[in-house]
Amino acid sequence: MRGPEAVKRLAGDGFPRAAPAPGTFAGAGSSSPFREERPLADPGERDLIAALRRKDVAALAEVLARFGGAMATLARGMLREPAEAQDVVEEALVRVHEAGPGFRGERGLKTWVLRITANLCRDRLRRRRFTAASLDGPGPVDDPGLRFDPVAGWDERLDQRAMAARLDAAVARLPAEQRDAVLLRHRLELSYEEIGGTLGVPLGTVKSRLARALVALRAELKEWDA
Amino acid sequence: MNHEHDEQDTPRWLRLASALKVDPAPETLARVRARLAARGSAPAWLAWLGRPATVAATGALLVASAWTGATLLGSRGAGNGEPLTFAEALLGDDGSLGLGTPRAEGAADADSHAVAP
Repeated sequence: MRGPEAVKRLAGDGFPRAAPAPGTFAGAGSSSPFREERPLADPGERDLIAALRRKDVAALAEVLARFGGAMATLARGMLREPAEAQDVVEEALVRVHEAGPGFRGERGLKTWVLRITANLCRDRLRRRRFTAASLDGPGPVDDPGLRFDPVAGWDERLDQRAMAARLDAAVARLPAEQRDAVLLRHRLELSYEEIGGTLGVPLGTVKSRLARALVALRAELKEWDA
Repeated sequence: MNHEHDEQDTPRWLRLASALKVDPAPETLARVRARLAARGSAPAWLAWLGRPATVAATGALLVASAWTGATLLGSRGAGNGEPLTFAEALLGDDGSLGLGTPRAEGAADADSHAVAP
């Protein structure tokens, strides 16, 4: 997909706009499903947004430093194919650069960048239906590019890495919309508002998808609850 | 349902999901710069032609013109004995190759070298 229309769609433009309250970003209007108003971005983020609006290529280094890990983790989790995920991260940064002047800052830079990444992943997954590729590629646990951060306070007798691999496989088997919500919530540790902004769905939908995903995961990993 | 309640409901093992992190490749930025440079040098009309909307519009135009052509041929040929399709016209046995050149009454074939009475 090329051209300004594609960028506009991927950037999530076209949301209803409302006059911003003092000290907040716009986007908490009556037609928005998000009632909570976001405080202004930190000065560093404001400078970054200004640089992106100027189409300053150097700003991409800062975007990559701030959100590159989240972008790569999301892309790898959604696509489960390392090379394709890396390609999506690069393409997303190009889109961020191209769409920078139109960024309105309604949901924050992180949400915007992740939304572009998630939309690109969805496009790839949609294309896979026609190329017969599947989601059965190597799990992220098997990838050499993986970074495993052990969870603090865990029972030492349990093999965290093996459990994480099993959990990852169970998450991969969830329906796509639930899987995306789980990735954003439990892998990237985003707030519900950020997940809603990234996926373009209302808060209630985020919660219901997460609740349904949790039921499915509990059923699959029921011995862990025992 | 509030966030606190959600957190209480979330099983402890789900925290393992956050243990898996992926870092972008170190050469990501260089590749992005190369992509941007490549896009900058590509002619705008080429990018415009490659847009899905343009491709879809071209396809729709092609289908519409084929349908219109078939309809016109069908309405012209129906009921008056004329060939219905271009292929039928070409395969017609009057030797005119579908041009439908009227022949004079009693005229001999053009290649017979016969002299009309």
